[in-house]
Amino acid sequence: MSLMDMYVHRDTPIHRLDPRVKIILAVFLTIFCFFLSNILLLFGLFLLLQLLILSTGVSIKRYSSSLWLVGRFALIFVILWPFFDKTGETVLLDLSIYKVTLESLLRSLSLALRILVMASGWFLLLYSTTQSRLVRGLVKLGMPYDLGLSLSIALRYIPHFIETMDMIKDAQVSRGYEVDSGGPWRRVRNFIPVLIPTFVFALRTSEGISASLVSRGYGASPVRTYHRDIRVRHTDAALITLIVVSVPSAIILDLMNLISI
Amino acid sequence: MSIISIRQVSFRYPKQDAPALSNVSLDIFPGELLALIGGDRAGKTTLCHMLNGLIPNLIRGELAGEIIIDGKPSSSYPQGGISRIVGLSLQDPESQLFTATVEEEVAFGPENLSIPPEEIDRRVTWALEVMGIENLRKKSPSALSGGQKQRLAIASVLSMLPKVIVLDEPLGMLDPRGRRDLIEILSRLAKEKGISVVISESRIDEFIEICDRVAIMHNGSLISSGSPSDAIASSDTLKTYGIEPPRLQILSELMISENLISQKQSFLGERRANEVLKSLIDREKGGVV
Ligand SMILES: Nc1ncnc2c1ncn2[C@@H]1O[C@H](COP(=O)(O)OP(=O)(O)O)[C@@H](O)[C@H]1O
Ligand SMILES: [Mg+2]
Repeated sequence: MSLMDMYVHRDTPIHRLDPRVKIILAVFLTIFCFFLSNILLLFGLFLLLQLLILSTGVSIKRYSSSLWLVGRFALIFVILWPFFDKTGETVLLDLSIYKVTLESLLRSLSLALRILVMASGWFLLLYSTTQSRLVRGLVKLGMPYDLGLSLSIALRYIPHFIETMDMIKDAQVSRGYEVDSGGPWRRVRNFIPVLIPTFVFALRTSEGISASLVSRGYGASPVRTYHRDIRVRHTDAALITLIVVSVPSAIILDLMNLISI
Repeated sequence: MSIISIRQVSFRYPKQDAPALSNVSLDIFPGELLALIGGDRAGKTTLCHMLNGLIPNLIRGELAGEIIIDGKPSSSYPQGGISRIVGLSLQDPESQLFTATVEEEVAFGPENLSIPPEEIDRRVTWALEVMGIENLRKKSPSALSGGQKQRLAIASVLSMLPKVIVLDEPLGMLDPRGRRDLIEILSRLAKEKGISVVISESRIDEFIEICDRVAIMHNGSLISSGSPSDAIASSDTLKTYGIEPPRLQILSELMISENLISQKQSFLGERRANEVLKSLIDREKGGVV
């Protein structure tokens, strides 16, 4: 599944937000999560983000499978944490090498929530923003257009390549190649007949893309116009201010231990 | 006056022994529908890439001869400049659809040309209507069927209002009905808007009677070019070039060899076949009475 294929074809208030609002939110949340450890705040934020994400009209089935991709990591953290962090007063479970205390459990949950909040910010952005509005937002925030376009094209084709790799793998397997057997070194070697055709295919496609870009007038004019340009409305401006002010203040309050559980 | 003029052009890709094109000369005239027919590796794609300057401006190789586009050598255009004159839809639609919605795809070209937004909107609507995919406007290109992707690829060059559109094997992914519809649209573009349309294909059954001119390619050379009946030799010759002959041509040849019709009555397509067969039936009836 492609990040770009994540776009939900709907017209909701979240979709209509200026992409910059959502980009700033995702970036701020990501930074925020490095600093913030307050579990209640994180949990509240997580719930709020889930509501916003569901309001983009994404199907619960699709969203939960995407969230699970990230959730798996979060879960592994929570499970492995007690091996490394045995400090804390309130012992919940003690198997000597695996000791769970309430304090360490909260710490691992806070870490898991940080990962989920971080991911949710990006899910919200990608579900509700088309590729061109995303690139337009990034460019207006200072990214060079060429870079923005390359980025969005890369995102568009990655799943295509993965799909092709699977197809080639199936084809090789049906011809009697054993791709998924043997020791690790053997597996790597077995994978070469899959990797090389995929690589050739990717190269061809990328040649096609550059041919297509030039044929569509890419680079013909120093300034580009935009069919539907993005414009910051009052709501967008208000939201950007809110994010830019509230997120750093929450970090400061948290670092100064002014909010506590 | 031709819009594109190719004079004695030969081209060899880097590290290849055989040239992909040898001594090809071809003119494209305003408002004509030209069929570029040839089997696998005939050089069709190479020639298509030459018609819009991708060769030599993007794809390098050993080039001899002259390529004149709208009065100027193709190599003298800045990057993307030829796209205002010649639109190209590539053989592989997958590599030319890279945006999230049909509308964005069609707007991409005019945006690069710095066209004002209101004008882009008019062009997008027009191109989608011409190609009959206005209803897909907000859809994702990756969700479209093969035929719809092909139409979208054409709409996204049409929106740049080129004088020539070059389509490299546009019919491959379509069913017979889709092929006929697309050819119908292209022929209308040529007749009503004066846009020159170049279609590269390895078969010509569906549009033999709609195209104004046929150019036959084989092994990098232009074998013949002219009106369909002039350019197309016997079905056996076509077969040796790896081209699937029109089915009715085979019937026509059989009827000639059986002395049912004369050489002058030979036919390639449906319309002409109808005429000839009707006159044959009338004659038979006359004979009986
Ligand atoms: N990018 C390329 N690099 C090297 N050789 C190529 C390339 N593209 C085509 N050729 C060669 O040029 C010849 C003509 O190919 P092409 O123009 O693709 O023919 P067609 O489209 O009629 O099948 C073939 O022999 C082919 O192998
Ligand atoms: Mg080809």
